[in-house]
Amino acid sequence: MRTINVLSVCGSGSVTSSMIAGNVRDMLDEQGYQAHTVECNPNGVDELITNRDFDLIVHTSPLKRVYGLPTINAIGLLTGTDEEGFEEELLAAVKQLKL
Amino acid sequence: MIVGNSQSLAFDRELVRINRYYQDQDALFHEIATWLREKDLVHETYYEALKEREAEFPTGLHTTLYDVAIPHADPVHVKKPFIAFVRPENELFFNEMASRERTVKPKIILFLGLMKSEDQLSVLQKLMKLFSSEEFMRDCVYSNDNERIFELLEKAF
Repeated sequence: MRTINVLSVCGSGSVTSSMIAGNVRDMLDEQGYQAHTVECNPNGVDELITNRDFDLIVHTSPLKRVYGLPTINAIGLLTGTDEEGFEEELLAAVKQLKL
Repeated sequence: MIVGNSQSLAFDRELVRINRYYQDQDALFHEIATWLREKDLVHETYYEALKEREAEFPTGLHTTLYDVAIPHADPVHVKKPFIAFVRPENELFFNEMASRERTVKPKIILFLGLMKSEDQLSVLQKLMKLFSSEEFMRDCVYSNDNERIFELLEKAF
């Protein structure tokens, strides 16, 4: 099985996105997946997804446009109000991938 | 609360401001920026930077207990690390993080003046835990004693 590439996006490109990325790796690891995460801010998304393949985007700031990738809002995970909902969405998106 | 240069956190009881009225978010940002400027914690560019960042990357959070907001400007506008606690007497609107449509009405607003992203990460992790602590939040939302709020924050960090 190949590694899942996740792009984690927040306003600074480093703070909340790192928090979320860590959680995403843990969640996927628990399910037996291996994930690689990259953090950036919304302005960095276009360049990153042009230069390499990402499987999905998780984000805590609004994205600049619609991308041809599954995108998951991670605020519920950040604040702890909807960790389960986030995990469900994440795993559902991962199940759609060709791994 | 003044955050030290390293992981150690120093605090300032003067950085608690409760029960004041602000016309709107802009008035709040303006007053707080002036206040922080007087304390020599931020550069002159802080107000504009704060406003622009909030417009582009909103910081309102809807948590299980109360809505909160954590407005901040990029580190270059901050002179000394701090966290300022503000609880307005009236309702103000903030856009919710990650969304351009929804708004929240934060009960408490924490102005984060952090200088390095490594520090920001640990502070943010602590804050998220605190926002879900009923005891902590109840006191933050209802206490009218600056000293009590200061102690709570100091203990938490």
